[in-house]
Amino acid sequence: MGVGGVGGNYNVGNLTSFSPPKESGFSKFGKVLTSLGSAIPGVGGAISALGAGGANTSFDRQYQLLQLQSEMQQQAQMINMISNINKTKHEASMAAIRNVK
Amino acid sequence: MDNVNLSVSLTQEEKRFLMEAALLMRDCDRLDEAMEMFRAITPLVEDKHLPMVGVGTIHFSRGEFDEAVEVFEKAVAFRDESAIAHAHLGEALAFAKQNEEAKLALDRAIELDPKGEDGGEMAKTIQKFLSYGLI
Repeated sequence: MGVGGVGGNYNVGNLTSFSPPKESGFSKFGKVLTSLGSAIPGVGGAISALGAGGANTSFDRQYQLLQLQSEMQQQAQMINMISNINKTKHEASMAAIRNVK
Repeated sequence: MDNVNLSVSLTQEEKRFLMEAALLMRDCDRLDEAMEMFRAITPLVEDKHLPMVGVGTIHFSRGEFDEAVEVFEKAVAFRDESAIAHAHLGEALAFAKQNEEAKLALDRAIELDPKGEDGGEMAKTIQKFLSYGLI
């Protein structure tokens, strides 16, 4: 069945603006390390290397993966809701037609 | 050929068949043919609100929400106790950005069909979309 037939006006893309994913704690920690490194000249290099080159990259990747996972879950949820609305519409139509006079 | 009575009488099975065929046309995105079928069925059935709802869903599919609201309102005026007509009216009103009226129509659909088989469940699902701000 063409989605445009009944549920075409519902937009899967809407859900991303519905509940935006929040920044993870890991990513925030990485950013703090990086900014600390640039603020203190003496120890800056070492911390900055830890923050930007090492831990931060890993944290960022983890954050990106979590963000992607969250977006996928939201899209799956939206598709499920649209599928549900199409199902209820179809069932209501068929119930009405069954008893048409 | 003067005064020839051309009235057509259909069995319930035939009415059901025609309605299902029109729905199938609509769901295959053959909207013009579906519209023609729903309009042609309207004078042939007692439950005229059902093909009217069909016509409204075609306007809705085309994104013509104001026209859809107009047709669904006629369906509701014809059969006020039809939960499916109220549910579709609520949906079209929501998409026409008339949220307060939409809520009233959806509430009425649920009130008329608490079991959810004839439009009540559909109204509940649309209410969920509305409450999430997705319409």
